[in-house]
Amino acid sequence: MSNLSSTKNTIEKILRPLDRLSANPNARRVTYAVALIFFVSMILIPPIIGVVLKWNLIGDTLQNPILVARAESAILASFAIASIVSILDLIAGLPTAWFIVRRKAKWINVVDTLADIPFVIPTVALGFSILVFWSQPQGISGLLRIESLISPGLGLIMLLHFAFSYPIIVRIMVGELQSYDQVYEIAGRTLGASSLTAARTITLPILKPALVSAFLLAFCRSLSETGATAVVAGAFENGPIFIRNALSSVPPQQGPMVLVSLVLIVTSCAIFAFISILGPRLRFPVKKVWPNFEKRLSNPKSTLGRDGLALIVFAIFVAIPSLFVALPGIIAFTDGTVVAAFTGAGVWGVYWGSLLTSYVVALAATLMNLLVGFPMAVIITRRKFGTQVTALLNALISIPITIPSVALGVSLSLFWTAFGNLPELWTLILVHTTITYTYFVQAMAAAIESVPEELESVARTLGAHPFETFRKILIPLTKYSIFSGAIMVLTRSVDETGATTAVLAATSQIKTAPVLLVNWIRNPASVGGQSVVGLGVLFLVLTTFISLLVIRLVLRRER
Amino acid sequence: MTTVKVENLTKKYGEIVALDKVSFEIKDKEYLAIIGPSGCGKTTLIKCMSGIQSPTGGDIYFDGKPVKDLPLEERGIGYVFQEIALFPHMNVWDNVTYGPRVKGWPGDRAAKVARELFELIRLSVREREYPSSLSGGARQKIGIARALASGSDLLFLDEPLGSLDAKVRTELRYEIQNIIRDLGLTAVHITHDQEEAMSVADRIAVMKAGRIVEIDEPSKLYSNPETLFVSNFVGEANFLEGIVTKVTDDTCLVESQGLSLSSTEKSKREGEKIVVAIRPDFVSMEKRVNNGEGFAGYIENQDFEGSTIRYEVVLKDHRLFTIRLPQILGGLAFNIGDEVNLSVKPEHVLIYPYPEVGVQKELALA
Ligand SMILES: Nc1ncnc2c1ncn2[C@@H]1O[C@H](COP(=O)(O)OP(=O)(O)OP(=O)(O)O)[C@@H](O)[C@H]1O
Ligand SMILES: [Mg+2]
Repeated sequence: MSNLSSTKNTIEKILRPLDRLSANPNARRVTYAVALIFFVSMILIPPIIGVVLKWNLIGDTLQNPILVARAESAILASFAIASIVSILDLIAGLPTAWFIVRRKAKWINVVDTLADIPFVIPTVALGFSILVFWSQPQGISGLLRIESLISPGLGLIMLLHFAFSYPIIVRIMVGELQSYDQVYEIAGRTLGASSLTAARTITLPILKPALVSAFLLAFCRSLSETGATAVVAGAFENGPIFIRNALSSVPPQQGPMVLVSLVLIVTSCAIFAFISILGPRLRFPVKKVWPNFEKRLSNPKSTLGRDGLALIVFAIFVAIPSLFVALPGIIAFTDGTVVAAFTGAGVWGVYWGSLLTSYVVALAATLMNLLVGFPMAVIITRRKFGTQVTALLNALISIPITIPSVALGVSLSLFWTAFGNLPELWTLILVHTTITYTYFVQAMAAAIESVPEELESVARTLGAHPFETFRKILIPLTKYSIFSGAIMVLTRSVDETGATTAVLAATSQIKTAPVLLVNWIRNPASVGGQSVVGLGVLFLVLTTFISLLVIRLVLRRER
Repeated sequence: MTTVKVENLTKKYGEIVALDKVSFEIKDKEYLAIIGPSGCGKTTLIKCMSGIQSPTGGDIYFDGKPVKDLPLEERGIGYVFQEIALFPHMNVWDNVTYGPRVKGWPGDRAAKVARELFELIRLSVREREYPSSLSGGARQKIGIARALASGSDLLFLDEPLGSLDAKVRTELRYEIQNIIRDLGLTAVHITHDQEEAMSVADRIAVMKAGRIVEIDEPSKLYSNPETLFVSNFVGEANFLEGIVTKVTDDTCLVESQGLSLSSTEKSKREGEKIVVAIRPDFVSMEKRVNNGEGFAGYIENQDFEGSTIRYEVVLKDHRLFTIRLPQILGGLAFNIGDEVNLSVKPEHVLIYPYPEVGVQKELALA
């Protein structure tokens, strides 16, 4: 006890000079400048420069019409899949969100929780689950007594992307609908609008910014996803799979890889900017009203039908396929595989090693984010560099999640090998820091936003130095959010496949768990069959579950 | 034309009884104000009438037709919100023509109605402006125009002036009254402001804890309220507990701690325990000349209120009594410390049976 308090005193003594130093405006400026410089030099520039460095490789590829045609159709497929799936997700997710918020029944909570499932399952595991459900004998195909209802390929990719983007839409729209002031919709109804008309002409237009950002998030996720897509793609190629294939051919085809990465980076940024700027100006067809038709669609029977349909779509395309992740794993408990797993025999040694690598990399990336991401969040929320710079920073922050992760990985890997000649593991940590940076900064910015700036001002008027205010007011008030933000970064990093694939050469000794699992799932025979694969997936799911459980508990403490 | 009849209307939110068997009627073209303490169920009442909420029990009739099972959008009412709630993504014109549009009116008819309404509310804003660029008062005028545009002649207003500045509030109050009179609407207007209710309404309903305690014309509610609660809630009153000592044909005599007062109230029994209520502005006061028998005391405090002055007089038995005199009637002639005699006309001495729950409880707002 006394030991603890003396440690505390020592820390306090070390921090005192920092408190005093922080009273100096220049010291503060330097701190924020460092965070900013880190952001620009480590997060923003490398992904853009990396591919540009190797841009001379593109020339040869462009001479090869067959390769160019393949690249072209892969890129087009990526954008087509992302747009179609995101629109379908909006159409299916919006009624579900509406229904979760507006129906006042206890059992809605169950739907609410189930809707998060694809969120909490690592994407590789989700890919596996979808694969099993739709195209393997243990799934629906077995039930229908056919070999494979939907074989790996374009269709299965769409089903997968639909499932993992669905919770994004539902989550965002549930939040928005909960905080939406229903008085506008009620006002519309007192004026004679049926509930459907009021929703279409009033509520949805008011919530347009949220709809646009939900669409964008789903779009970027779909564009970026690599690991799970590789699991269900079969011979089909979209952008990320094209890059993955180029990477894994021996020797790696650098030219096509750089070409496709460059195109994906440029177009995804352009589309993101285009939709962010033009989206809010997009006009809904609000003026025209079809009173009788919409009235008929608003009656209780139609509403019930709509809700029922939304639930059926949710169950068939999202909930049930996602839950199949557990089935092959459970079988593994009955056939002795589980014993082999725990003794670390055969392939399991590599597996546990990869899981360890995953968590080491994730922890390191989380630490990096804590150090450099938090000051950046302060810069953004407290507008340390003025309103316009803040708006710009806010936009730039989203670049790492806008660019498809495998393209980002290709570029970063080229950059870090060219400039640092870093060991693979270090490159991997830097890449994971970049990939998770956006999530962390945005989560921290939201947490800091919730602490009124006045509180800090009050402390300052009472004589506290800025750094003292920071560590005695801001940190304690946001500590739970910091913690859950950190765990979110951890899970994101453990889940990452695309950029990781790009960094690790096919021959590399280092493997992360999801990268290893993609190979296992694509080639179960090499590791001893489906139940080994299923168990491997299940362990990954369980570790993620534990992390997410911790977030829940922590957030509950906060409330 | 529109008449309204409400029968035994009840609304429960779980355990909370927000409306408790409320019954009343509104005549055609009548302007009814509803006042009552916060949380007494005013909003719930008009939300149930308009269909925004569905009541737990009871019936509602518009023009004799039951409307309880009609959905909100088919009740043909107009509703003005305290939050104003203009659609932020539509300009002024689209806001006002929203009703006609969703009812499928042809465009030229909607435009004609909107033009007329703009004239009626005498508003000089550009039709293409968005609500965010307007002042609060202008916004609420548009809110009223929007509520009227689809031709409803039953208008509900839930604290329509509640979010506006004091000055705008008084101006707009009379404009609303004029619009309602001119168009011959039946109106139900909730307000926190008694003065607002008194000045615009034909009748006022006073609510308490989910019930209507009294519903009557403003002047009657003020000068001769039927309940102790209303005598306190509407305006201000001095309360003296006492006993009826003598009943004659047209007056009765009451005594309260040695103080005798006569009242024109009837139907009281001798010996009955009662509460006397006297409004501060119905008392006259003069400097004492005699030796201070009866209704007398000294001025302990005075507050300048603008057109009136409020005095606190300590009576002989140490009870505090409030008096309000118009300045113009020589209110300034008194000073703190002056010994004074008070007098009240018998018709201003209001008498209520002593409440079973005690005076404090009866007067409490919840
Ligand atoms: N949606 C609701 N759920 C639960 N209780 C409610 C709800 N709406 C109102 N109440 C309760 O019903 C009672 C009456 O509320 P109501 O809003 O009608 O009062 P009010 O007279 O309009 O009050 P105010 O003057 O503050 O506007 C209150 O006790 C309130 O807490
Ligand atoms: Mg109210």
